[in-house]
Amino acid sequence: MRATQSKTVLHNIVKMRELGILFVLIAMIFIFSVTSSVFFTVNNFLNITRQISLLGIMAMGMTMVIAVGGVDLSVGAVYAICSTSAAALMTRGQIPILPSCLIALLIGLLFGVLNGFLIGYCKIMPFITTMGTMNVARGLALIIARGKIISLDKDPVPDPEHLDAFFCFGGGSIGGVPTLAVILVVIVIFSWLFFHKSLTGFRLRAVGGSMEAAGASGINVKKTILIPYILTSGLCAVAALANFSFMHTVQGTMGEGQELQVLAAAYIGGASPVGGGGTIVGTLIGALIMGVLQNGLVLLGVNTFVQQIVIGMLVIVAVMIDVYRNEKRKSG
Amino acid sequence: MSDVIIEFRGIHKRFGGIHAVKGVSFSIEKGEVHTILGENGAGKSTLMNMLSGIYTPDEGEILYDGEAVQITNPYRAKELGISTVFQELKLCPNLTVVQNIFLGRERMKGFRPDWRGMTREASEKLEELGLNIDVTKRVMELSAAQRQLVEIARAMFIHSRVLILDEPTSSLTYEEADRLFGTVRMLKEQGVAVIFISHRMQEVFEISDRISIMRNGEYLATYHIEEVSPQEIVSLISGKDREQMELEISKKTVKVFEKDAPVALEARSLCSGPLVQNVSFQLYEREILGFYGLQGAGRTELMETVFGLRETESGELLVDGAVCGRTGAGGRMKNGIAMVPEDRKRVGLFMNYDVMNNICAMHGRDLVSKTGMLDKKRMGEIAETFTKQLHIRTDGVGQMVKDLSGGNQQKVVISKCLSIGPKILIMDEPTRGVDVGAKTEIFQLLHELRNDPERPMSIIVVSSELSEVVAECDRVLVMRQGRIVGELKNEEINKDAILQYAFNG
Repeated sequence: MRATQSKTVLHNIVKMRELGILFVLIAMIFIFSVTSSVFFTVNNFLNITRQISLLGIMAMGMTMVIAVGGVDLSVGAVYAICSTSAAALMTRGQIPILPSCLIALLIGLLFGVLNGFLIGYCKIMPFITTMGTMNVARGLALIIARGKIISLDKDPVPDPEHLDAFFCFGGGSIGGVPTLAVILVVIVIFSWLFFHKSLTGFRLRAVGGSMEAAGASGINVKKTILIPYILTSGLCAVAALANFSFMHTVQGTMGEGQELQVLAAAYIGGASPVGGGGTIVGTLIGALIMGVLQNGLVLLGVNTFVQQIVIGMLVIVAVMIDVYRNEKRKSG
Repeated sequence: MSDVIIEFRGIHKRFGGIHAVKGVSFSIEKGEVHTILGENGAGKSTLMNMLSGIYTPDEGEILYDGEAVQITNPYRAKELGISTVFQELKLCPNLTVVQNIFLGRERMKGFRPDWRGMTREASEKLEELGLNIDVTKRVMELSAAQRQLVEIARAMFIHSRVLILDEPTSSLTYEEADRLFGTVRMLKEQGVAVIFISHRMQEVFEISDRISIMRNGEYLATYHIEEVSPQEIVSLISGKDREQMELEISKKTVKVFEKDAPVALEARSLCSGPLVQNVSFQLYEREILGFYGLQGAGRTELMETVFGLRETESGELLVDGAVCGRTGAGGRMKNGIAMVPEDRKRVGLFMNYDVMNNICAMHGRDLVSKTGMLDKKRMGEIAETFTKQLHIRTDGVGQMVKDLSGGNQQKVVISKCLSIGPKILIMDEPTRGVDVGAKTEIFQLLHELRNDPERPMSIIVVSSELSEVVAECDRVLVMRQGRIVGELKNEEINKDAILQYAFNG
């Protein structure tokens, strides 16, 4: 009995989709550890986790968007509009810090509702919809920032007594672990529970697998599509506030190109471009690969543009494996 | 107490100008297997779709358990206890069998679905039904037959009072079908009404209690299974009496087909998937060869194999006695074969292009001028020639094909094929969605082409319109379940004989 059980566990591990990229991650860590003396230290790993936290937070939402058969190009711009509006409300609007943050969160969620509504209910292609909202959000962010850098260290806020608490949100540490890393871990856990364990998460994958079949089974397809977009934009707002609190400054151009980084993390992590696939752990590993690569290359003094080349190749290889697997399953 | 669960009362359904269901009235009882039979397009599927909430009737009413009901959507049908196993499967390929079976009705354990419990329940139930499927496998890993079984199993899990099985056995082996019938009998004993649609006559007689027959959208009659024989049923379905049949034969005036004509095309044991199994046939020079079969018999699949759109798994194809070495549609075109596909709008035409570009679409380098650009003048000439020859009514060759009528669109597709000068022309449903005038013109053209003294042309016509096959073809091959089951020549060709093969083969 026990023997068969351990056999199935082993079988499951071998079958696990994440295994391939986990291997890539371990190989990278091994190479950088051998070539750089500072790489394999606790401090550096905390550093990496902090560096990928924003990317990781947004990628959790993106995994679900891809699973439902969509794509969200507006993440970087939504991130920017949430950052700039929070900052502008505090400094120019003289609205206290907490309400400003809540309004920024609300703005983020509204963009998610807009995306989800246009895609789920109006049936506009995800790529087009989110490219449109990306431009709208980016334009608004640039207008709000007025081409300047807003800094909490220079510009006055109405309730300076709360500044320290706000800075602590993204810039503090708990037992030596940066809060940014803690936030990431908490969000990963919740995303995992939601995506892999809850009914909504399951139905999300069903809709991504076949909208027709899901609809015929009585699932509300439109609503199911709406949810991951709202989640993603909400997570962008969280990332924006965390980053603002960590950096103390914002500007209208921040997060430009971020959407491609987030997509890369999800695809490297095994998200299937045709929908219905992807795992939270996989995406986390995807984000870690990107972080480790950048960090390691910097430590080695190698041109960091090499990172882009490697990431580009990894995305293609990861998706190629997905396509190949699907093909093999179909014929077999 | 009445045993009637569903009663159709004067149901009508129209789609544009087509009157698909004309005043159908009959009833279905609890605990019976009720088979609905009819030719392609007799209105069976439309009627069933009204029962499962996909369409709503224009006139008439459906009584469910004695009460008039409005089944406006599939959810409503499910609420009432009417479930359907569709011909085209509705499963999520990325999910497991259990997940598919319980999709939309997941059992919960706290905030999460209780997959362990559902897995246990599903595997027990499937074992009970005699279905041997690993429920933790993903649907994409299953064979077509297994998927069909999952779909059926799913319908069984819902406590349905009416189960509609629309050709459930089309991709099953006999053993699997047998097991399915066992389950159907079990459900019947529990008082479930099973509505069965199938073209396999043997099955129909094995499982049914009563049979209702539809023809041209009308309801004809219902029989107890003991009252009728398969032969009687078939002639009822075709609805032709002797006189009409003889008329059809005498109408066939153009006859040039000679027995000792050379063979233009020969298929030797072609195999490609479940719907093309070991098919051999010969097409003689200047012949019009008809292919008939019920839906899912494999006609289109066979033609796609012949034209190289489908991979040939085994067997060979000979043109003028030489084996076709090249594969793919491009290769077959070089061998002198052209095909008018079944799906005109999707496969046959580029809807957003004009007539000229469509007619010249099969050409290649021959349209490139010395300067390396496309020779528009030559393209215009080719298009003009064919629009004249085929009487295509356009405002000029620059008109968009999407603005043409169905008949003229079809003529554009035919022009496209003819413009590369084929020796063999395959036409899959050449008259679908084409008005009567154009239909006659198209067949006139076919007869002209094969009688052309300079260029012999041999033609294959695949059609679901029986009268067309009877009237226009020199020889008819009947397909059933991926095989050729019958061959009829000249005066042997009549509706009854063809249908007899198509159903009973």
